[in-house]
Amino acid sequence: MNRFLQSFFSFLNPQQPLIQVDEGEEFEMLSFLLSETLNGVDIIQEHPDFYQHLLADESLHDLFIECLEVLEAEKENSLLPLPFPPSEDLRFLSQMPMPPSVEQLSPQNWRFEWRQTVAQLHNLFGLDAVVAVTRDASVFFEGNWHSVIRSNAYFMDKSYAVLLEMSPDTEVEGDVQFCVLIANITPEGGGLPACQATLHWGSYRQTVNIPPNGRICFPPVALQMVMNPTKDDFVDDLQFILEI
Amino acid sequence: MSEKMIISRDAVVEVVHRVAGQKEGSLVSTLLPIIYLNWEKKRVEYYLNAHPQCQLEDYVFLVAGYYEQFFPKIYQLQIQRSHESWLETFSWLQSMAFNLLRKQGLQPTAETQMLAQECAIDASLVILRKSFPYDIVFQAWAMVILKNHCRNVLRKNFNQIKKETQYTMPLDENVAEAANSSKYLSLLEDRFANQELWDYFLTFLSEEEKELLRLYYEEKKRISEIATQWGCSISKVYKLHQWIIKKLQNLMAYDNRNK
Repeated sequence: MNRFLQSFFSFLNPQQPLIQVDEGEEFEMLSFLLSETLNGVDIIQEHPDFYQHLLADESLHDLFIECLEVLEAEKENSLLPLPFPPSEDLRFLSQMPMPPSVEQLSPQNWRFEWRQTVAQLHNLFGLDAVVAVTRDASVFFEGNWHSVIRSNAYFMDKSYAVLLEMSPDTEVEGDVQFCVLIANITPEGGGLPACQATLHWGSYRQTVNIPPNGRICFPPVALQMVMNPTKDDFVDDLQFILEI
Repeated sequence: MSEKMIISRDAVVEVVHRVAGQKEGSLVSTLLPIIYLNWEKKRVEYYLNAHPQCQLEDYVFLVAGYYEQFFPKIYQLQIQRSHESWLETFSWLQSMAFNLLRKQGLQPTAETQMLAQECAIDASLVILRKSFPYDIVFQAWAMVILKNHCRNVLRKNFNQIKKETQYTMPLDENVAEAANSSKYLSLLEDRFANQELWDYFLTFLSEEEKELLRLYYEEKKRISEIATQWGCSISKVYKLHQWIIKKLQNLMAYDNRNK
């Protein structure tokens, strides 16, 4: 029997276990498969394990197909038109955090401070979501990582992208972890200067030195350090400081 | 899946430096954080396990290529928050959301458009703050975010999502009858081992379904080639393929229940 028939029969009755994909990772997988398909890749042949996973999860398969159908319709100019002109109300953009406050400590040293108020944190995640992320990461279809701060810092004619992300801690259930990522996005490039980052939230305060690759995680944060005893609200604003 | 590839952090650093050196030195500080993030999110492993012929270097080249292609757009959306770029993207998201909602059976009314706008706002807020991985096309990334939020909006507004009836798969009477036949049972004793079973399966399928299996598994045409030959969308061919698999799985499940 040729390998094509074998693959067909393997879809009918998988002999090997399906690939293990956490629910939180499905977003990554699905966007990946969709992208491959848009690029002309035959996912049945090229990604049989992923495809088998799709076949086993009908709702995920439907999701894949519906996204693909709409993107194909767009390509063929056959999308159904909106009954009225689309909204141009972009006020939602202002819900996102404001740029950092900047302070020059010395001719060569600068301090950037980002602050997320309790209200902004509610707005950013939804309070329930922040509690849930520590209990069941799978509720977040987009994955387990949440951008808490995404901003730019300008220093000595250089431009740096700054990203602070939160995810459930992999070792201690109920804790969360923050990772910082700093990249030089100046067109002419270059490395990162020596810098350190401080995260201050409730009774949690930690400072880390940023390594040359720009990526480092803070020690985990226990929820009781940032939430009230009944765990239904944050106790304080979140403050993130970058000193260069 | 064949043996899974495990990538170390050091390997990532080494390969990024090598690739960036071949392209443009300054890319190191740009690519390294992106690829680190993807590595932590297991995207690098996904990609390499799905493309066994590829090396880590190929993945880094892929990210470098997508970075050149999509960074200007991501920069305008996430960093500059350019009004013009957002108007275009927001309009695109609303149109896509409207079409996704229509697929769930909602009518083409102003109310549906309002829901589409709600989905587009939710998706925009995620697009604004989520890291773009630069190993896929922007449209696929944004579309899955949008679809997820459409699902949430529908849940919120209707408590449940209407399922398209075409995705349900009742066991058809002819198949049930055939599944009881002694021929089928004897074939299943030597399950999947011979051409005869393949031929037998074909007897349960419509002409269109048979034609798809013939083209795909016998003539070894690609899904996109079949779509072109039939003058239909790729999604339709994928749907039909899934339909056939489900149909035959139902046949087998019926058989197992009645053994």
